[in-house]
Amino acid sequence: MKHGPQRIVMMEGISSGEHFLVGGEIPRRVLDDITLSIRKAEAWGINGTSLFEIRLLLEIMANIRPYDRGKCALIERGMMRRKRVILRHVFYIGSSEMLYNNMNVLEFLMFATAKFKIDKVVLQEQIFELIITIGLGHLSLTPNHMLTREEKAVITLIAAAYSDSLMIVFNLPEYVWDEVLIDAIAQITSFIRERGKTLIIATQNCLLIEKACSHTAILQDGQLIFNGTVEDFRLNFDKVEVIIRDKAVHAVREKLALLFPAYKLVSKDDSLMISSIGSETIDHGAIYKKILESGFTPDSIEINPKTVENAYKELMRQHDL
Amino acid sequence: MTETKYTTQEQIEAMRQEIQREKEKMAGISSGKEPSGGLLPQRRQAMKTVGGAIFLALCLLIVWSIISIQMTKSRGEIPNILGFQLFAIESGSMEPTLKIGAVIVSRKPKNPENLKINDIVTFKTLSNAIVTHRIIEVVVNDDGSESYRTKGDNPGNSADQELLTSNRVIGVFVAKIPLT
Repeated sequence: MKHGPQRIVMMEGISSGEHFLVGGEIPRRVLDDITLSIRKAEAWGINGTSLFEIRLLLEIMANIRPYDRGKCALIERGMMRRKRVILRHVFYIGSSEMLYNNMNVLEFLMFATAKFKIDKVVLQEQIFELIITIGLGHLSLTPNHMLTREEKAVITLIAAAYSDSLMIVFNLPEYVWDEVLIDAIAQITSFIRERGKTLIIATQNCLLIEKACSHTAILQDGQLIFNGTVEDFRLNFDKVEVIIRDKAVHAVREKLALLFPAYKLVSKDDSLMISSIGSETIDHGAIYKKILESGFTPDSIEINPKTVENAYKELMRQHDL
Repeated sequence: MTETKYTTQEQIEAMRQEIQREKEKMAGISSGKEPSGGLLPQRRQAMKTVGGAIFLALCLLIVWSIISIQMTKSRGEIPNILGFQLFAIESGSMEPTLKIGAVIVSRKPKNPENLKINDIVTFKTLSNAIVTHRIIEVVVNDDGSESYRTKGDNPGNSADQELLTSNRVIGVFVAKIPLT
């Protein structure tokens, strides 16, 4: 049985050398006192209000930006504070221009995996079928120069998945992802985790975090305001329990508010969201029963599946953002 | 020709078939079905084995040579490999035949009593210095044994004072390694 390093990133009290200079205010560090532990085969989504903060954190993680204070170890090896070298065990994706434009997608991936000592035909078949399985068959033989920057980034991520780097840093927080690419990234992430590698994604896309990541960390004003599993994040911060959909939902809002004094009711368009206030366990059946007993039969009542997006909004609201 | 961005289903299928054909070809080669290519893997295997054996033998020879040289040096003798010795020329006495810095290969003579005129020999002087000079005369002693008069090729040199006896002969010149 192989025992590789278990701790991939260990950050203790990391502070950046960069400062934000705002007119009339005291300069503040872009990142301050960041403590984070990322383990093997985890997929982390780093989110936050500032693209610059997110990008800088991942650059420090990849050892290409120096930090000013604190301790940081990558793959259980300490890194020098002033060293700006991407180490062999880190696959850093900080740009989508890593593809050769004179090749197509499959050719590039074969080129990127050329050093592996396995049968090239078998490898080609594996890669080709993987591209199709993750829903990017329509790009499998497309010339690289015709791809969008987001598509190029995903192709680079496939190359990273096949590399022998234990840690992949996907630092493109400003990119805009559509659902096809999000699904593709989610499937590549599963592939990466199965191979015992760790993926760290910088993004402000909550759906990407929800679909692809096992863990998330949220940055605000240079500090981490949350880090933990995506499931904990969704369950603890998305307080909406039940969503009622009906055209007449506004008319019965007051009546329902009396029925549920311990809940917060927020209406939006044709929906009414019933959110818990405290942290006690919610009986969804009892809510459903009470609504029907009130004599109001809405078009639909659904239990909120708890999303990262709602949780993120709630977290931001708690921090007055 | 205008390129289209998206790969069509037909292109995907064509690629799959191409990969399949290639796989079948490879499978045919490895199972020996192809008449001309059937022996290829065996030949390759044999070549690999022979190559490996040669490589191993070379490695062993190098290791044995290093050990043997070190042992000989520690005994105060001149190291040799399979009877051949290497000497570096440090003086100009044999110029222009052997220049300073040249490396020569000498062989231990089977019969040091039967050396001839014009042989280049490496020998120990009475003061224990190692010298390479040419035999210019074979001298027969009173008891019937032979000694040799030696001299460096350098025209400025005169013949060596002391006669060379066969017991002091170390090697006979075989070749020069042109390092200079």
